[in-house]
Amino acid sequence: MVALPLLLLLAACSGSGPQTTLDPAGPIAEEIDQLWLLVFWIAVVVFVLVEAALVISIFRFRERPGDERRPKQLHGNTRLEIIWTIIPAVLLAGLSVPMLATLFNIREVPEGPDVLTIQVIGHQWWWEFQYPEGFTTANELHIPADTKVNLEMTSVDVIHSFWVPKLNGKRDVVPGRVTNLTLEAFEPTETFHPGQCAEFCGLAHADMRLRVFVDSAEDYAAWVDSQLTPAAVPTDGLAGAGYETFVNVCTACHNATVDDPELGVTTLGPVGHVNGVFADLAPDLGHFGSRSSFGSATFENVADHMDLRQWLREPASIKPMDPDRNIIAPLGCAPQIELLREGLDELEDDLSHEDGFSEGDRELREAEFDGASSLLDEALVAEASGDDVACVMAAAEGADTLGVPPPATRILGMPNFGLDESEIDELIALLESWE
Amino acid sequence: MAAVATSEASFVSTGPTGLWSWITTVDHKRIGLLYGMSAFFFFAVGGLEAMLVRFQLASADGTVLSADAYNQLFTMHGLTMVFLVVMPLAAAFTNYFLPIMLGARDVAFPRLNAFSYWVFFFGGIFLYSSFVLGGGADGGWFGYAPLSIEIVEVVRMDFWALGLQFLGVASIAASANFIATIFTMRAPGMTLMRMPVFVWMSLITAFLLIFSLPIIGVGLFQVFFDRNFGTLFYEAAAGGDPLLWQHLFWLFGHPEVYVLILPAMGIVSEILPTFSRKPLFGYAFVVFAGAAIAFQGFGVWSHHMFTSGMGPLAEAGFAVSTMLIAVPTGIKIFNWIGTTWGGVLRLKTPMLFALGFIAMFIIGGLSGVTHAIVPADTQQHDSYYVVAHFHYVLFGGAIFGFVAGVYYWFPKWTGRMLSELLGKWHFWSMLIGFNLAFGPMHILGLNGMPRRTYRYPEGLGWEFWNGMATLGTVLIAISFLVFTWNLIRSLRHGEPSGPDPWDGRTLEWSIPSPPPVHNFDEVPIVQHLDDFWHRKYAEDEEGRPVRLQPVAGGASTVITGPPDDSEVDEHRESIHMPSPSYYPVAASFGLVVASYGLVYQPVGFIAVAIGGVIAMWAFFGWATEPSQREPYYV
Repeated sequence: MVALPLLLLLAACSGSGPQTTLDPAGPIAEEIDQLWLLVFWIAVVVFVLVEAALVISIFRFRERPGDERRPKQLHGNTRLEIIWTIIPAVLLAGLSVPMLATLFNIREVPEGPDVLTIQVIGHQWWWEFQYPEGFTTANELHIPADTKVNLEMTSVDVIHSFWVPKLNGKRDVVPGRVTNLTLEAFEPTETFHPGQCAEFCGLAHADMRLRVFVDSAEDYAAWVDSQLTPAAVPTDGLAGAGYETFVNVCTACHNATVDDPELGVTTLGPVGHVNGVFADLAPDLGHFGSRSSFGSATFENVADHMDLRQWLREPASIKPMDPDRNIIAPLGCAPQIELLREGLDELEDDLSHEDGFSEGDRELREAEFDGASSLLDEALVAEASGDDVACVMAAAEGADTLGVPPPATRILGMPNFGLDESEIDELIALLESWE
Repeated sequence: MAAVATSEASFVSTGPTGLWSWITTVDHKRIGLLYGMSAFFFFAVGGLEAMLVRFQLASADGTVLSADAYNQLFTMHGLTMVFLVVMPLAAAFTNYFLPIMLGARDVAFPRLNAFSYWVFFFGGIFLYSSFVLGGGADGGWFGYAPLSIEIVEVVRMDFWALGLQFLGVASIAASANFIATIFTMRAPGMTLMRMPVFVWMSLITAFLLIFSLPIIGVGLFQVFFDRNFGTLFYEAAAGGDPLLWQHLFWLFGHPEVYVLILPAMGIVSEILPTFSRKPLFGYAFVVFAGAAIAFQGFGVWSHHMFTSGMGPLAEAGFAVSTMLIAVPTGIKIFNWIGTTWGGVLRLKTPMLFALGFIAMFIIGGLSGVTHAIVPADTQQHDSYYVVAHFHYVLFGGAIFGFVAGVYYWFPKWTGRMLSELLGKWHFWSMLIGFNLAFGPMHILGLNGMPRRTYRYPEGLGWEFWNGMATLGTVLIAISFLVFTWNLIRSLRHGEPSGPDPWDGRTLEWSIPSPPPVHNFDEVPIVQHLDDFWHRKYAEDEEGRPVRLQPVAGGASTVITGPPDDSEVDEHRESIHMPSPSYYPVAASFGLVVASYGLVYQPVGFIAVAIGGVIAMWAFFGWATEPSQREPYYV
């Protein structure tokens, strides 16, 4: 009765696999692991003692054939009760000391010039990472070794949970809130540390995975440089034909920052606020070729492109999704400005009436009107200069000042575009050229 | 007249027969049996769902189920096992034995009792009917917002929100009934501290339910309003707070954990003394530890949210309160072991399951303490380690306890014994299967496998233990086939048990098996804890039991069978039993019709109106119905 769980407990001591919590690859995960080991061995000792008492009692006092014993009718023993109340209480109180120390340690949000802060956005069902240098990547996080990385996380839809067991415990990614998680790794990885969403987030929760690549300082700097380099616009060959499909089909949702010979460096695809969060609508594909995986780190991005081909033919056939239920509110500069204008018109109309406002309230609303108007001007200037991001930010802030609700967006997957095989070949050629 | 109602014994019940007599029954024993049979049916369904889930996970990248089917099945498995199996099983035992153990003839409100059952029954049908009306609930049994309000064009989570609300009504009504029964209907001399521990645990459970269910009731209404009427309680982009749902849910959900386990603890506390031939060690401590668990259980809910971002101070507080709840739990375990110590342990099947309960509950309790270690919990949370933990508590705990209860009390229900041989096969296959299924999940969780994922890739090292877990599930299924066969076979061919096959201690063993409709010919006068035992045994100067010789007609009579007619004659006129009523079932039917209407509003408002009228008619009829339409004779 006791042997099997014991064996399992022993097997549990030795962690295995790249996603194990028992083989930490960073100082925070290690601190957690050491605390866990302490608790684990205390639990094993308690387990053995209590189960042994039970088993000994069973064997010693079991009825045997012809047993004529008449057991003494004991009703209890107050001294024993006090003992087995106090001992566990003291043990637990003692245990709470290292627990609380570790807790406050790992919950500290790192600050300082050496800290790298990355914005993490949870989406159904993929991860967006916004780097301080201004570029965005999806599902594959690169961090430098031996550096504290502060993840500032939020979600555009439902609750997710960011979990890379080798580097830290998990932390929920909650819409309407910003949560923090610190990552720190001892040394560069040969491949990567796998992780995945740990809070049930709907249909494809199981396929919302991610990879953390820990780079040496030089490699990390080189990687950042490569991500900052806009993608080249191919003009001929397969990739050139693929670019046309990309612009016509993919940029309805996906972004890519390209170096266009005519327009200069420009971001294709929608830019804006998704349900109030500055976020992408779908993974940024500008550096797709440099990634080891796609489909939220569910499929390998390898030379034969079997999975990628199938994904482009019929996405829902390899990853669960429900694009028929997508609701896509218009993103980009023009719709945001339109939204702000409508809000301003409405408020102007309200303010033109004499009554309906108390004195203080009117002043407040007028101040809002002025603030939002200047933000509208700011957005228009940005639009004229071609800076979509600044335009969207200003217009959204203006709408927010007025309390205009942003249009709701819900994206549950990629539609089936009915691409033919040659279009698929062309698209793959393009995406692979974007490293 | 007397001849009409004289005990026409069926195997499981005495009194009138026929389907209509069961539908309109207000007899607490029949309602208990109805609860039990329904729960057993849902256990088979929920078990089947678990099997499908395990087959899907048996190997990497499983293809048995689609993601959509998987999400429905794991959600419905959880809902089923919590609300349609463990809670009604507790209701089954409580209904049947609480009045008898108190020396009462029925519960305080017999028709309310029937209403509770039928609301539960229709609630189960309601919840399951969504499978044919657009799919089963697929947002997890916990239905975290805003996922649960995200897809409003599919009615699955409407069925979840209303279904749980509905089942909550059943539990609140039943709890009020049990509390009233315990406080007002105890036999003369049955002081609170002479009540069997099972009754105590039922009382505590009832209070837990009364205080916790309204909390989730509020949350469920909010979810339903968000989904259907455009409210924004949980819509983050509009300033709603998704974490509010988690607080409301777990403020219900954690006390609920004790709702699930305390009745089983009560059952085990009855079985251990009987089969150790010793009184329960530290009766008062076991009782008050149960009460302490209940009180503390309302102060630990946020340990389900250690990764949600409450801030370290709140986490520290809930961590310490959670660790402390291990203290009263430990007291119970130590007292159970103390009960066996120095006894004469008859290792019959009920005792095996009770001992298995203790052995497995220790594991679940210890892994529970590791969850209170917040930093470690950030790794364990939402991983298979948690799945392992709560199955050790709810399967290794609650289910082992209830199965022990079935083996213990089957003779009382039917007058026949279950087979010991099959019982032992059942026990060992279930114990091994259980550990094989859920033990490996500790390892899987620690090795990073998250819960609620319909597939996992190769190369993460999870294949072997997943395979073992699936194998364990198969063994559990086989063990329950043995159990089912044992039940069916023994119902017809089991050895006759007589009223007191185990040399029991509590009042239910003093009356015939199966008990007559009115339970007691004469209301017993209680003088001791374990009163029936003290009617059979005195203690010598060393404190060892000495069997008393039964004296005919005296106060210490051992009643060994149904009394013959001549004995009963003089009491005939004095026994008041409530008459059957169809109003409870009609009222619950009206309510379920209205619930279907709410799912499909605005057109459904017609059904809401129809259901409302039926329910109002039934409640009115109920209120004006004479409590006893025709006299009842023994």
